[in-house]
Amino acid sequence: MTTPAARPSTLRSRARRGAVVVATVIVLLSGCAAQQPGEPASSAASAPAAPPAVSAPSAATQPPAATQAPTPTPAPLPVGLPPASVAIDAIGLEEPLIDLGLQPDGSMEVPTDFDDVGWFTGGGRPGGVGPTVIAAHVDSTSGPAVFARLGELVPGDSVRVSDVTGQVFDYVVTRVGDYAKADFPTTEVFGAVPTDELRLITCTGLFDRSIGHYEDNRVVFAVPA
Amino acid sequence: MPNQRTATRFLTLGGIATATAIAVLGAAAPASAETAVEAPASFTSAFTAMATPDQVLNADGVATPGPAGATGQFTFKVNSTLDIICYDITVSGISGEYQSPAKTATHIHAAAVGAAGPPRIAFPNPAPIGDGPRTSTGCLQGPFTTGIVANGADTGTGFTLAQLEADPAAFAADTHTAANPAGAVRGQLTRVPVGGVQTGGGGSATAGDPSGAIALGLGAVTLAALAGVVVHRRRSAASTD
Repeated sequence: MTTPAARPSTLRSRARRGAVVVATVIVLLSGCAAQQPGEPASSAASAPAAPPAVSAPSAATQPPAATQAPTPTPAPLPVGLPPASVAIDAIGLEEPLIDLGLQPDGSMEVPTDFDDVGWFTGGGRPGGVGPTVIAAHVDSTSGPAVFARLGELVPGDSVRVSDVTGQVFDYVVTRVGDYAKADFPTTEVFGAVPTDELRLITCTGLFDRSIGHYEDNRVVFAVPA
Repeated sequence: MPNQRTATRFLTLGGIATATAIAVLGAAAPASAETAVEAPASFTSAFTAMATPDQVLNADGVATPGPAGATGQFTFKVNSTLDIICYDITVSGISGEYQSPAKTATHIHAAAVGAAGPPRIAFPNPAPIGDGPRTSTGCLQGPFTTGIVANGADTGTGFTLAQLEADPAAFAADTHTAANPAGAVRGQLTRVPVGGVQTGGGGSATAGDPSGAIALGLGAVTLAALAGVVVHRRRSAASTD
């Protein structure tokens, strides 16, 4: 059911890093050899002839003389409103949300009260694009906390999030995963996405008493139902 | 014939020839460029940007939208102590070649929302070139160069990732194409959490086993063995966290 931090991708990421090294070498060679401002160094093979632009003091590019064919004006993506509560019938949970930001060490702030559920204010919002990230404790120092049963969620379960106006957004769980905090998938969980998505986070795995923290996070991924 | 021999020697010597070429050309470069590196053991910050066509501005700060429907997902993890930035970029809905006077066409610019500004870092362009999604991942270590010279200096000169951490909203990520040289998509950086989320007090973990149920039936000997595993895992975490 759960997916441990993706070890099999190590080889692939090494291969990618290798490709990056090669690409960088190519960039170094072509960029330094030519230094022709109008030419894209990294795609020299089929680069279109560009006007020899002078060094731009304020930006990397200058539009070409020819205007492009008119295209539909793209509209900004929706932003959404702050969420106010979360309800998960499968685990009998219905809680208001508190605001969570960042801690001084750059990690996500967590509720000081083990019974509070919070959302990351620097992320997405329901009805807008980007991941709305909700987090709460699996346990306190003495027993279960508000997200004690989050680990029971499986793909297909429903999650409802209401925004500050009371509008309800229905999500369905698509997958769950356990990730070592030391190798946390920041892009997968917090990275920008062009759609409305939801993440629910708590702790799992072994509890490391030397630092007072669990070693892993359980992350539940959900999309609009 | 002499040329042929030279070419053959280059092929034969492969890596040495390439290294030499870099050394020779590097001497003519305006400044030492960033290097591709492995991911560091830890990060001090992370950032993401949802890049869209409507946010694109030209060099004069005039709205110059990219193609409708294009998107760019830029996520960065930074270790400002080591001046390393790891990038994870996915661009969709764009077509054709990249185009930029910089050494690549995918950048972080010093540019607040609604303003133009010079590139500070040039990333390898997302690939493959085509109509499908393009990706670019890896890590770069400063000092950075962009290939753009302004006022006699490369626009990457003097830039450090500590500046990015100090004011991420003053930076934007984008990528430029031949069809949209001012930028196909652009997005402001926002800070996101780095590392895992500390959401447990350990009160349900007193049995020392994450699955709980199994621990109930464990004898003292097994618990001792389990404690050994925990100690081992602590050491591992200490080396990577």
